[in-house]
Amino acid sequence: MRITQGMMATHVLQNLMGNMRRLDRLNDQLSSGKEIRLPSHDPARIARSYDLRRSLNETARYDANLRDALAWLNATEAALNEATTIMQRARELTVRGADGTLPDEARKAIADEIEQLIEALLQVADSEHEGRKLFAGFRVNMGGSVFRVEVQTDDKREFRYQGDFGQHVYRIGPQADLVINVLAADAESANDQDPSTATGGVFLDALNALESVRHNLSGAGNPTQVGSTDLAALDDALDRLISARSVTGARTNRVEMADMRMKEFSINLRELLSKNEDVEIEEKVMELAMQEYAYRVALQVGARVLQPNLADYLR
Amino acid sequence: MAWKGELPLAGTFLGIEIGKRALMTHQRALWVISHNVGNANTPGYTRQVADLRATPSLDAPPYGHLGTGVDVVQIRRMHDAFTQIQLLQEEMSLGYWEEMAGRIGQVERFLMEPTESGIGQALDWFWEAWNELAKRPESIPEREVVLERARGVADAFRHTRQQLYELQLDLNRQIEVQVGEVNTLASRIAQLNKEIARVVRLGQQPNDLMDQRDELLRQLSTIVGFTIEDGKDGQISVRMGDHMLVDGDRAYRLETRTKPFPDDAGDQPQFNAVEVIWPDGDLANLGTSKLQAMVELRDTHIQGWIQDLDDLAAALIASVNAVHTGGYDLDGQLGDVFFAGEGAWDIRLAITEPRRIAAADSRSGDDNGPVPHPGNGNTAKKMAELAKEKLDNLNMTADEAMESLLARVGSMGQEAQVRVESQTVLLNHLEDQRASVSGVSLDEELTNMLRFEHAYAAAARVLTAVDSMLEHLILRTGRVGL
Repeated sequence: MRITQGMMATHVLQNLMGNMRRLDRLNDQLSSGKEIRLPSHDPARIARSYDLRRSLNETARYDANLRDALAWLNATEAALNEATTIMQRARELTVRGADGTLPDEARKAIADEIEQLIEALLQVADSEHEGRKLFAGFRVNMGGSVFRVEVQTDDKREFRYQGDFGQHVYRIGPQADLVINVLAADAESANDQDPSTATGGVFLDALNALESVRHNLSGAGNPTQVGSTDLAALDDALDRLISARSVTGARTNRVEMADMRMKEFSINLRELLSKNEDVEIEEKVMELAMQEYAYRVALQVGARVLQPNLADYLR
Repeated sequence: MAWKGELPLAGTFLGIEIGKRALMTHQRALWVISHNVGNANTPGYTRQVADLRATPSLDAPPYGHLGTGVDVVQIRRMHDAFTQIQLLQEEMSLGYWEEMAGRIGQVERFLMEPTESGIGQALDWFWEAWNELAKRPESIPEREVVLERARGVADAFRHTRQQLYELQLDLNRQIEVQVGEVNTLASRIAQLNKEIARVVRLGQQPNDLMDQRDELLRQLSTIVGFTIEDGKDGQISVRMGDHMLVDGDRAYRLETRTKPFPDDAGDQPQFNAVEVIWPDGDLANLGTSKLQAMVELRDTHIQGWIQDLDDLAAALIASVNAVHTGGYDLDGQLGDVFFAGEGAWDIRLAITEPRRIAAADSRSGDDNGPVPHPGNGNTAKKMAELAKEKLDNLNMTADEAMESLLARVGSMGQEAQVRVESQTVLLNHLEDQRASVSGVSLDEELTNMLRFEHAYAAAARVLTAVDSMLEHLILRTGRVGL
């Protein structure tokens, strides 16, 4: 093939351009730290990157929900513990009060103490976490108390539940929901439209049991009930409290396990994303060094090849 | 070529005549070399070679035939027609793929993935806001965040779509400009055809005019697709499909007319799309070329991607609204429409009041006396779960839709880039082939220059000798003793 100076110059230029293109790409990759920047660099990888990022964000949402659920559950656990302590003290008093040989003043004194415990229990029922009621269902920012006290004609008090039966459900993983709240009163015991008609529940049973003891010991009721029906009711209420605590404990365990899994999953995702997108610095820097060398060689050869021509040698 | 000079007499002055022919021929040969050297770097220049041939010999009995010297028979243009045709075709192909690669590159940048500014991230922030609201549905600040993030989603869609639309508008303008270019080139080619024919009919070689015409054809091939046909008297005609662009010395003009696009627009933004036609109304066949790529990009590819964004936005609007209108707001009222709009061009937030966000899925009372359940965040929770649900009418999740779009744009972009690279390699090879035949080699020209220089000097020497012999004959013959 016949070769002209023009062709040689063109070839030198083409080679230099090729070198510069490769250098430019390496520069882009190294300075951004990303192997791929645009979909056309590697369409399948980009789709994967997009997917991984969305998964990371989704995992972050579950993570936040797990943290918030744990805080709520811990607060619930603390309140239920307090309620249990109150009930245990109440049981001691009830056993004492069941003694038929007690004088009236002694009985009255116990009734007064039970009264205090009822107040304490009402306050626990009003417990809040970050300004939101723990045991009132959806009525988290209700004004007033979770239980309204109504005094009946026979001086026995009734407790009207002022919350509702809403369940707080948190999404803690893909297709995984968790109910986190305990209700102070049961939905089954109420009529559909009016929560205040509830007659049973974690707190309601306990309150009703204590009120019965107080009423029977106060002189307005029947003291002989205390050792029998009242004590039985109190024990049932205590069981309910313990049961609510263990449900909350189980939920806490589930959250803690899910949290561990989620953290590990998140780490894996990040690793995959990095493998997918990021540049291997050592490898790239080597490539850069080789490419720089190749460019230098191309420049030198180009210079040597282009310069001489016949005119230099003719007299 | 037949010798057209005078028939010399085998007489006294034949020697001078032969010498004169040698000098003039070699001088012309040197002129040709000079022309080549001067044009060594002229784009599209085809080197010329002076063909020397001995002039017809004289019948001179009884000596036999006497040679009569040399002349330049023609100045040959070292042109490779086949390579030229290939070059034109591959240039057209390159034009197509370069346009594709360039514009798709722009589309990729507009999509802004994977970055913080893309639609993907905007959607994630949106879902996050609903997720947080689900846990604190009564909180006004959380509700404000939902509104902000919703605006972010709408902005991302509208902005991206607008950029794609403007790309269409730019292509539209460029198509018009390129049609003007084609017409200018066509009329210049026709003009050159006319001049070339005139020179050829006079029996001469219009080498430089043909070079100019080749250059124009090359420029034309970077814009539009065509085939060339040889005409009479050295003319070249340009054919685009079943219409002629240049027929001998006659140039036909491409015209444009506009049509609203897209034609089934509804409320979408519309523009007047330029169609390239012949005067008789037929759509011009643009072949595989830059112009063709522009039309395809504008009408099919970019339009398709815009359609995908619109479909995704519409599905998002429908699905979000379906969830929202089934929920209850902070005052116990049934949720209103959350997003307004029909597609990515007009998607916008329809709610302005934070209290109107429907986070709950229950309430007490009725329409006349609604009693809200402020702590109920179940509708907000359902909204956050839309992130992983197949959207209405789309049959894909939002993520699947975006990934599909990215993969398609990326694949097309990648293919275009690969094609540009391979076309460029091919063109470079063809260029080499052309230069090998038609390019000027300075070393070669200088070497030939030496040859002709020496021959010229020798011819001059011989002429001097002949001259002195004639001098003897004329001045000294018959003068005895002087």
